[in-house]
Amino acid sequence: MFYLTHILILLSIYIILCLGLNLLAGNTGLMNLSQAAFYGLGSYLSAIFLTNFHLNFFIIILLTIIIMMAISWPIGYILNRIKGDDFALATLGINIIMYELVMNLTSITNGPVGIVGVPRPTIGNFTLNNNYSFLFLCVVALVIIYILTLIISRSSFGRVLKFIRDDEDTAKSFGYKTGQYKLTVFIFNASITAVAGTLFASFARMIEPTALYTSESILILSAVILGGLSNHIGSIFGAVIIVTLPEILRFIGLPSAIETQARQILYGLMLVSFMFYRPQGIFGRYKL
Amino acid sequence: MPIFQITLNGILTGCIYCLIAVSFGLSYKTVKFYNLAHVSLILIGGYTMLLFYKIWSLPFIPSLIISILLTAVIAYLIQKYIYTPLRNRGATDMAMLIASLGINAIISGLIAIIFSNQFQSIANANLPTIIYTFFNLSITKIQLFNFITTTFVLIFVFSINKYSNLGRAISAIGDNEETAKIFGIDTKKIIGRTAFLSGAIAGLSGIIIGFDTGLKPTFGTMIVYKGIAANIIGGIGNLPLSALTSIILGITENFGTYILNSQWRDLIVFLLMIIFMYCRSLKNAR
Amino acid sequence: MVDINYNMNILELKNITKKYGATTALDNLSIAFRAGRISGVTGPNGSGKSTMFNIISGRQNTDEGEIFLNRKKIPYLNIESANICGIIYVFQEPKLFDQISVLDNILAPKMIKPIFAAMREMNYDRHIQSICPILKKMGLWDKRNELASNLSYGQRKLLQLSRAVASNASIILLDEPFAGLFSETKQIIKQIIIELKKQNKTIILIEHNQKILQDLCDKIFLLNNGHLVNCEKPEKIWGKLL
Repeated sequence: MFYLTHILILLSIYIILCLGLNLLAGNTGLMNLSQAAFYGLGSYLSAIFLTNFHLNFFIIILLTIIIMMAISWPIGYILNRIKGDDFALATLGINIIMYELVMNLTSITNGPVGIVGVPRPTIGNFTLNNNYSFLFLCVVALVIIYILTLIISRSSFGRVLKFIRDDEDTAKSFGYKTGQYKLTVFIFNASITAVAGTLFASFARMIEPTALYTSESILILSAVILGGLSNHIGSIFGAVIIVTLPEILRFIGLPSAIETQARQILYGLMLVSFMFYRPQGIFGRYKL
Repeated sequence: MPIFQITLNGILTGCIYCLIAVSFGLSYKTVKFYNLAHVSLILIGGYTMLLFYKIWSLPFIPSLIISILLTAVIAYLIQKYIYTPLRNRGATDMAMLIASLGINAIISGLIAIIFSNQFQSIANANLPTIIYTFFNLSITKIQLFNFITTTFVLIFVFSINKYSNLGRAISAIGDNEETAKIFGIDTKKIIGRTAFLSGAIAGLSGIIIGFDTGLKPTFGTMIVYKGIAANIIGGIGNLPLSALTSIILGITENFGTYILNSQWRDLIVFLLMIIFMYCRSLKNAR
Repeated sequence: MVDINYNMNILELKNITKKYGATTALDNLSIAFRAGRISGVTGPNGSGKSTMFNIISGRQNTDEGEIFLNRKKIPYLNIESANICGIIYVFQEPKLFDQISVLDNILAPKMIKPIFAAMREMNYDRHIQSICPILKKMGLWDKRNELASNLSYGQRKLLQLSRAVASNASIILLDEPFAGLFSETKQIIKQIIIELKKQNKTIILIEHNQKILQDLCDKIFLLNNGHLVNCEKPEKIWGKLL
């Protein structure tokens, strides 16, 4: 049971990540290969705050969100001009840049060692050391973010995102300031990763640079694509695959030495076959 | 005088980036998307050499030829059975990139399983490194090999580009594939051959990396990414220029390591890549 | 929006040159379009007609030359400023939002533009009411929930045109709107163009078909090799060509 809550907590965090990326990649067509880097950065920021300052946990979440929004603003602004698969490669570059920053600013981030001893949240007198209570926190965050992303994608704003995805120039010709829309989604996604990052850092009680690997970003984007772009259920499903696949592999007796690789190979196979036979993913309607 | 030695080392590092950049650029020119499976091609070259030369102790030249050919063939097969059919189904550039990420995941995962995730070097650690010295500069045997082969490859590729039918066909396809077809160019054949050539060069670079710095399935990709970045900085279709930027990259990297702390050199490469992408988009856009 | 004086040239291009590498698409082109009229543009393939449209709609830069709207020079014409000037380009090969529905496509010009207002807008009933008659006239109302990519060629052209109508643009660039269509569809489009003129819109029409040019246009411009060869009233120009 303890193990199950562990899985469910990770699942909620990944669903949050996938929902945010879905808004950016699925609805707006911006294939972002740096989601893990933003997520990791959010974890680092909150880990630094949580270990060094004794502020309320929710204030720290807010602080992390604000800082991530501030950081993502200029990044999004520059990326705004870069189109199509150039954009994907550029975000890969951003991922690598963030990883290098985290690895090398050792005075702040402890370099390869990472930050340990991150405390669990404390509400009043109660510390969420118990996984059950932490899961409750994650579910609350998840519900809020799910509702937010749903509202955004169903509103006019969400419709315009789809216009931008299909044909940005034509959207511009109708008078939409597409640059502003793209920047807004990008910053919003960054704030979502901030929440996910804070939850993770506090849950795992630590954060390492390995969280910012490019392979992680590729994994998250693949999950969103496989689940189905611009479809909320698809994003949830994608997150489910990320979290449960290793468990299933372990269950059927795969030696743990090749576990990560086996997962990677399976992902690769799924991606290639989906691009062939079902480019809209399992639940999606949008074909890549 | 260390400056010359550092410059020499820089040129040698740049040669590796050069091979990666040129092979990547060749591929992009014909298929028009960022084939990120290129990373795994380089791994295939390096690890095959590891298998034949070090593990099975076969002689150098046959192992070299087999490894290069194997990489080239695999690149050709991927192009023929995966990329071309996908394009024929009307896949967008983005879909192709994702598919190439998938292929990369499959191949590097398999390599990691077969050869383990550990860092391995093809060079025999027990043998002393053979160093040649001239004019007070030293260069190891493999670095000399690196330099010579890179020079040959560059000469080969540039002359093909300029003088041969293949080169003209590649440029034609690079400009506009549809028009090239109308002019009677068998685009499928040319694309296949380019994939073969690009794979061969990639394999070679993998072998050199395997000797020089060593192989690691998951994170050895940094070198390749930097080669790709060098290509983009030089101009994605522009082979001579990206070869030049690769060399400059190698030199500045080595100087950077000598003068300052080396930690930021990777970051700077990708920062430059993004800046160049941005400036290029400003030039093209309204 | 634009204050239109119906006796003036609403749109004027002066000395426009556009080169693609070695090819010159537009060579010192000077052309003026009167407000509220249907102006036809014709000429052999490669004479620069579509390039001219690309430049007017802001999709491409000029190498040289100036563009005037209502006698006022436009300093920088890109897609956004073209929209502010009330210009819209209806492509020969229909450019739609393929992966969303017909209804969403035609709602595109109608929805609220500023971001934070757009986040709050969830109710489209009043928009739908205003575009319902247009869709019904085009025969697209029944297909309003279909994905745009599932429509036939003719339906796509109609959808693109109805989007342009719904956008309330004042200068409409039509690139061979009749090409590849059945005669019934052609009739519908002809009706729409006549209706647009009644609403005092300025229409610039690229067309090869002489009969259509003769029926619809108030004035015909002949382009060749990137510059203006002739401009006449329809009756006169065919006399010269024949």
